[in-house]
Amino acid sequence: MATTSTVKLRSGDNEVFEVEKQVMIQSGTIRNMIEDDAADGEIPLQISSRNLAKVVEWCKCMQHRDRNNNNDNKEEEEEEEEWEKKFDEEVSEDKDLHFGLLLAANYLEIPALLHRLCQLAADIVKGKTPEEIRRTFNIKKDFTPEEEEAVMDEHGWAFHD
Amino acid sequence: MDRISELPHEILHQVLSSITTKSAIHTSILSKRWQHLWKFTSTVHFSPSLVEFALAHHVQVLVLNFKTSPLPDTAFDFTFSSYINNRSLKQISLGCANINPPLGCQGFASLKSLGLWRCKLTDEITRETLLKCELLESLIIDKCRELKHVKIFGPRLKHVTFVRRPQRYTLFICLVHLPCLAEANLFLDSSDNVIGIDVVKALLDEKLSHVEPLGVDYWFLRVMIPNLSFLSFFFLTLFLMLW
Repeated sequence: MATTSTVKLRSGDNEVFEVEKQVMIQSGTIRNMIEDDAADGEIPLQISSRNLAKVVEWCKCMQHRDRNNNNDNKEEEEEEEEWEKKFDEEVSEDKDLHFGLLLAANYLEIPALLHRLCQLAADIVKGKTPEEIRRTFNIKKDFTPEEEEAVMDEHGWAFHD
Repeated sequence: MDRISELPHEILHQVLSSITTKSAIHTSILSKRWQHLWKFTSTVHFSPSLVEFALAHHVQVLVLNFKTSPLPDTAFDFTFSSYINNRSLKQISLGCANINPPLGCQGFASLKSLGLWRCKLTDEITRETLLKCELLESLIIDKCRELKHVKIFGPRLKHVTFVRRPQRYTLFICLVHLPCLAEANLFLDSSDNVIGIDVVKALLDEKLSHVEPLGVDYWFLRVMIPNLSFLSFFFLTLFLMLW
């Protein structure tokens, strides 16, 4: 069994985060390392310190929430909701952060965070026309007009109201 | 920079699974990267417009097979809901779908044939669905998951085919209230080796003697005749064939 109660995570830009193991076992990747006793040194991650800090913050908040689930502390509950709302807003407005966190959550195998981030991305896509989606994400159309028409023909019903 | 298109497939599939199927299809014209992505989403949201489109064209046969994903156990959500409730639809075949409880569905006015292949289907949903398909004449349940104690019934059911999916827990199958039954095919094993003799238990309260043809497999007979050995099954089959 591992001896310490914390785990050290080293970001891609060499910043070290020391976090309680209890918090980081939300990550499947890190949980496996802890179970295999491979988490005693520093764990190097290809994640920037900015994104890693956010992931750690998220994990702490979720763990705190789960631990207090049985408490009926209205004040804390509201605080957590407020934090989550802020998190959602911050992520939705900052694409670099959003996509960086998506990659990090995917790599670290944190299903709940991945789900939340995908939901936020879906909320951005939802209700937009293809042209609006392209503008929002700087997607370059690489179809020739003929190709575009062929794609639209394939699923004609979806493009007509 | 277009960073969203650089995300791995699985993330984009999950994003597209959270929006309606129609919106997901709209993304196919964004760029070549996006053209086929929506086809791998794990959830299909049948917006009324999709089914209404089909029904407006007086569709009689609705066949939806979701086995397009390369992932082996990816299933799609399907809900029989009120908009499927129409008078032209005679046959529904679904493959690899998660069948949800029928929602706000009054009953299928004209549905005569229902085929479910490799679907996720619970005992309760089977019951609810059969209750709502009063005119059903043909039922195929082929290798569906999560069935444990399945009861097959129907006042007009003539043809029943049930193929068990290899599984480790006991399956109870019960054929009752089938006054019109004319053909039954019951295949309880698909030659997997996990089955033990007590894995399948069947209850038939109808006399199946008037059912012709009746197709059963070795495993079914073993349930009916516990002491049957494979050798006697072989001779029995030979005898029936010659006869």
